[in-house]
Amino acid sequence: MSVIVVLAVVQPSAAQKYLGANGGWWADVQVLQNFGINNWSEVDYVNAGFPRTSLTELRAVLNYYLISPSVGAFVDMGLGIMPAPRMKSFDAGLMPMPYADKEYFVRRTSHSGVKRSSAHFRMSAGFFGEIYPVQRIAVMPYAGVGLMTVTRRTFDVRLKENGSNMEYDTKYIWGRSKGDEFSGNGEMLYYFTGRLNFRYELDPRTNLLIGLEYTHSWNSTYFYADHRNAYNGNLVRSSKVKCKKMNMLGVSVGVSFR
Amino acid sequence: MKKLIFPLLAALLMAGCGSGDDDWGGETLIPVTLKGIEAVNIDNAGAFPEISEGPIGKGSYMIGIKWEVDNLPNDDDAFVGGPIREGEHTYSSSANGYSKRVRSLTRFNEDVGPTEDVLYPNISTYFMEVDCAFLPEGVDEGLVLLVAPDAGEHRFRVEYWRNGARAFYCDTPAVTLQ
Repeated sequence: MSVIVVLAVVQPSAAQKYLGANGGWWADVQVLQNFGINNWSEVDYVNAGFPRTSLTELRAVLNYYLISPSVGAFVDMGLGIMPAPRMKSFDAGLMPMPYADKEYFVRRTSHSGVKRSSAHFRMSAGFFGEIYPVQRIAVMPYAGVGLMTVTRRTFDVRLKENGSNMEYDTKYIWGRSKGDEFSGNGEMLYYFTGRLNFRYELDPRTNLLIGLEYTHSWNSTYFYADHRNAYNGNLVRSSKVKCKKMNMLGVSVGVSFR
Repeated sequence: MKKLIFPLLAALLMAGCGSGDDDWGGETLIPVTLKGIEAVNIDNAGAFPEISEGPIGKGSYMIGIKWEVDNLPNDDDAFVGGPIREGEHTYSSSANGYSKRVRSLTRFNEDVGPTEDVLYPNISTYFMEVDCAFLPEGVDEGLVLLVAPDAGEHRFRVEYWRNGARAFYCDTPAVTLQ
């Protein structure tokens, strides 16, 4: 008796079978809000130079049933906005200097990269499943990998040492790499993503979606600081801080249609 | 009324084109000529360098150079110059054609000082020119001292050379480096 009850619950109804019965494609449009569950780094000046860990995204998902109607594959693309970094302009009081026991004056600064809210392109692909616990409602777990664009940020600063003629050309970099004069500012973060979507059928062609998701990046960003003697170009001091892998939790709402 | 519109517009246009010398802008188009130099002592210890007559730290001494210029014609300017391209003949490039040399008029340290052969040793390699954007008002060039001398009173001579010949020179006031 209990087995029959379980099968009756799990088996899709005739109406619910419509989307998957014949296989094929169907699409979702979602609005998504991600919240970082960890900072880029516990080091204040490192974290302050990156965008705040929050991502508001508009996403389109294309789904295809591989084993209709239970298992399929998906690919999605989205455009997200991350808020401005806490350190919008250069703050000498926060940053590491050539020598910790000396005071420095800032003579010149130039900046490249993000200092306001920034746009980030995301793309992911993977597989999904489909379960019907009750009529008209599907529970769909997703798992996949993806990439997200980030922008390298750089401050080029000329520092003058208090009490002497010494000046330093200093470069502070937040990003995946230091880059060079031939590379652009765009870089990639790669991630794993796991989602749980709940789909409510409005009619055979249209569904409402609510989802939860978790994103974990598998490569890290870094902070670099290079200090060079302005008179002879010698590298006086170089430091590198490895940031944490980004983890985000998200909530999405959307529409699914065919 | 229609017959007056075009003549009025033409008159306005011609009036705008026929403006006087005031509309040349603030910068003279005649390039200035360097006629001489004056050297001052600068204390570069703080956020901004300052002309100083008192003691200066050995590690923060800078020689400041003031240009003496004019735009009067002389025999050196015997021929009409070539076309002036924007940015080529600005005041800040007045000394571009000169090489700078610095000599020590006093004993610099135990290794560098007057000898029988060379009364005022050339210590140009101990100095480096700095960005003119961070100089005191009235000072046109700055040469920072990057090798600390012995503490005491010092004096330096700045020479401007062109085409293998010394064009100008000036001695700094005596300065106590400590």
